[in-house]
Amino acid sequence: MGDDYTRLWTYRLKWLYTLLVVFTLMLPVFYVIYISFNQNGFGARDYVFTFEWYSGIFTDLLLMNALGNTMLLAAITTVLAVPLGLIAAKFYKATGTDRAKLLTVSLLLSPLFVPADILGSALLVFFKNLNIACATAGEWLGVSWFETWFELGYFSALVGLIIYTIPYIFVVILITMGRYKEQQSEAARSCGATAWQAFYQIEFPQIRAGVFSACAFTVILSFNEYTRTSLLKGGYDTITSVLISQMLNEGMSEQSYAMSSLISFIAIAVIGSIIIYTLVHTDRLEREARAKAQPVMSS
Amino acid sequence: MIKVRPQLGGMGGSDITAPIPASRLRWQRGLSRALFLLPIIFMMVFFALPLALTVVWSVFERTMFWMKPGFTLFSYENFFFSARLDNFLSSMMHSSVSVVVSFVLGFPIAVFIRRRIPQVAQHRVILLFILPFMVSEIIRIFALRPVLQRTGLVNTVLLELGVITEPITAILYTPMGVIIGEVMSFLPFIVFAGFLAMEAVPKYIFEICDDLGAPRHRVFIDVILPLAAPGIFAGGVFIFVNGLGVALLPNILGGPGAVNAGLIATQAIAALDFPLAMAVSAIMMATLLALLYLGHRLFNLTRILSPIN
Amino acid sequence: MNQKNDIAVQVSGLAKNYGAVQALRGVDLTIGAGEYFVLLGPSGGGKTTLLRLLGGFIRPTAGQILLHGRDVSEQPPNRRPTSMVFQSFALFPHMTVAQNVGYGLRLRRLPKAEIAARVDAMLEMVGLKDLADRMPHALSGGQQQRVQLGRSLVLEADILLLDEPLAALDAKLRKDMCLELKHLQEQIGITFVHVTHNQEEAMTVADNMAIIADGVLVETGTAQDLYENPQARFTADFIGENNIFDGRVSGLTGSGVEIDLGFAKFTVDAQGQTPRVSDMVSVSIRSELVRVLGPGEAPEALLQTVPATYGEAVYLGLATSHVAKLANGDNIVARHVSRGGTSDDFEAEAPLTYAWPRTQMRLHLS
Repeated sequence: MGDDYTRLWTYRLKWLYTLLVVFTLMLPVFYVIYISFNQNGFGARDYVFTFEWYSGIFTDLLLMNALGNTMLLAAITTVLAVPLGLIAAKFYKATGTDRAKLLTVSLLLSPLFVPADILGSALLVFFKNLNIACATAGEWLGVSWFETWFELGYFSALVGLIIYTIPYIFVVILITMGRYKEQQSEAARSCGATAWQAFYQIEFPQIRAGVFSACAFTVILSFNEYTRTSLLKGGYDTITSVLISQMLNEGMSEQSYAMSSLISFIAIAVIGSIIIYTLVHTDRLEREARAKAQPVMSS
Repeated sequence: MIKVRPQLGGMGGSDITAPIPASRLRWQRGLSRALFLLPIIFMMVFFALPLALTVVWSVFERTMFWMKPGFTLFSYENFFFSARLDNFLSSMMHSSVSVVVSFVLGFPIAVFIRRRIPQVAQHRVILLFILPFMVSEIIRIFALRPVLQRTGLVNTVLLELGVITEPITAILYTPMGVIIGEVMSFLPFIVFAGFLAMEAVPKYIFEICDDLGAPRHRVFIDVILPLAAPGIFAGGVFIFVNGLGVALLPNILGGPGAVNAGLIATQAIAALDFPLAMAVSAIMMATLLALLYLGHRLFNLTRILSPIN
Repeated sequence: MNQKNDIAVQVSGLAKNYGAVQALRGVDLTIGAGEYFVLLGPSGGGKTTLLRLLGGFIRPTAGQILLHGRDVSEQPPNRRPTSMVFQSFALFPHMTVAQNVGYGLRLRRLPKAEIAARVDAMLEMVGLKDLADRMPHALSGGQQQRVQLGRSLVLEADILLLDEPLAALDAKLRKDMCLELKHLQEQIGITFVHVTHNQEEAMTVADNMAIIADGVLVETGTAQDLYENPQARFTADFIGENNIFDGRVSGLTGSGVEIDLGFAKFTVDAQGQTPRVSDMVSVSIRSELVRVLGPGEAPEALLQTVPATYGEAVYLGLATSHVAKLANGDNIVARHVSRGGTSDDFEAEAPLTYAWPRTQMRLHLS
């Protein structure tokens, strides 16, 4: 164990290392952003700064069409998955038995451990089979209104995205709920609130930050998702599927560099502001927590 | 002595404490139970069921464009008695290397954050590692190409600095490239898992160790590792399994020899060999379950969940 | 609601299981309207479970709950004539004191002006008039509990449930608030049902109380009844400081019961109970009624005596406990008011006689 000075230096070195790792992880993205501003594109000897490619994005119909699909998918996924995750987290906290808790946790967290391509393939075959089953049943019954329910398309892509995002939602909300004392809901009930009133008047204001972060995560994660969506989306184009097909075939177009930079930039900005908000917010929460832990001892 | 008091209901407020008829109570309870079970049912139907059915579909017979019910082990034969097995095994190797590299690079950060950063600030530092994760994986992985390739960022910088005289070509379109990609993609997860795992190591333990004058490596081996083991293991399994299953990595960064289970599955689907894809999925799920079972026997993985309880 | 009904709470055959654990078994209980009723018992004994069943936060496994004659067993908390004060400071942290107190009134859609007037009156009543705009985290523990009390009382529910409301406060504050609660209840006149594990707290506030342990309602009565004439051995053991002797009935003579303790034989009045020969029973005597007779001091008639070997004196301020060992190895305690300075010294290991009036002994069949 060294003296205070060497400790201070190792402390700084450790900080430096931590930031360096984050920077390295971000490096390729920064590089893409750098290239996207080069008039001569990737690999050129001379660097000429330009916004040209960015203006090109919005005239690229393929990209714009894909952007529309992607945004719609991300929005619907968020609207469906966040309430599902919230309900699951409430169930997890409310249920009394350990077995129900374990079942909930393992069902909701295990999608983390199932690689994208494996889950995507399994769901693809699942939906194709459902589709065949529906067609057969329709033929047999002589009705056809449900025959196209499970065709690959928005619905199947949504299912894939919900399963992909729900573990993150579940964890984020559960951690925020950890600070909430269930007795407040009971107090509200005994004041005459219905279960629903107790939730949205008392509990929700206190877990709002977690729910909103979960929403932001879900939008960004489903926006960025490629593997599951591309396997399950049917005929639609999404941003990531357009990008990857360009990447693998003719190499990325300059517009695509610009598009990648733009969506990366937006994601970083959104999450960045959430981080900043959380910093401010946790500060306040922490102060309150401290104040609660040691109430002013005069009555 | 009871004073007769006016009821709130009679004072212009609505009487919200009137009893609910039994029939309405019953369907309200049923509705709320159904609501709470909704996520579970959803995950059962669209997650657990399809994955379980992969085993069934993997023994179906392949047809021209689809498959038909039957029982054949042809797909497994196709997997185990071909180059696919070699590819699978070598991708396991690469994955294991990625796990070790990620652990060595990432876990000290988790320990550092837990030990030396004030409690209030810890979560914020952890949030930094979410940033790279917020950029689409295809951009992150694909962007490694211009960084790692012959004329890319790494080689240019190293050449400029005079560290090397010839561009390094072994870091892209090789298994090495895949490992670099895996570490770059999954390192944050070992930091998250490590951070959660370190929750199991109370801070005063470090003070006790300092007090006893234990050398650092002994503190690490005797105290930190055993307590944080379940979390570290979960993080390791996560990286290992994704290294095996994410097709994008070998697809974009790997050379001809770098094929993992995910890529085998997607290639099979592209070739309309659905039973083979299902067999690969089933094998992956078996690998995952075996690892988790092993981990559970060794460390009792439910301990990881204590921070969220 | 029937205000003339004299029974506020009537519980019959109430049981609650958590999986295989029986938290509460076959409880029958009646609480009169306007009573201050205390549920007293050791931690984990089921008293809080009973209170939460009354409040509707958990559903009974079996049995029935009538509140003011109405069966509410299946009703949720917001549909019962009850209101609850919690042990932890369960205030709504995102609302001011006044908003906390007015929450239930807002739910009832009362006019704004009326809400404000009622909240003001309530804050005055619980002594928080000046803190109306504070946030809960800026209050002391005692103040937070007052806010909770106000939040419940302002609703004018018929029954107020208090779940260890003072447990999180320090000892001095607890004493003051105890009396305050009692006076508040007398002033408002509604039924209070108060759960605590603290005897002193219970005795201070209770009109009537019930002892609950191991999921069973052991005994009910006034504080004085339970202290002076406990029916159950558990009550004698739990309340006050009693010396308890277990033995077997060896003979019945009229209303006298002869009990063989192994090292001695006591004769106790049956007090209306009907023990049978060779039943296992217990006899208890409060420690403050026990006297220590020095060597050679002759016992008066009507005194029950036992020989004991002196152990030690424990000075407790007001009282001093003289602990001695009986022939069977059990301790016996005599508690006397401390006599300043020279306490009555006995030699350790001295053979003494412990004695108490026969008529004060109580027989416990269970």
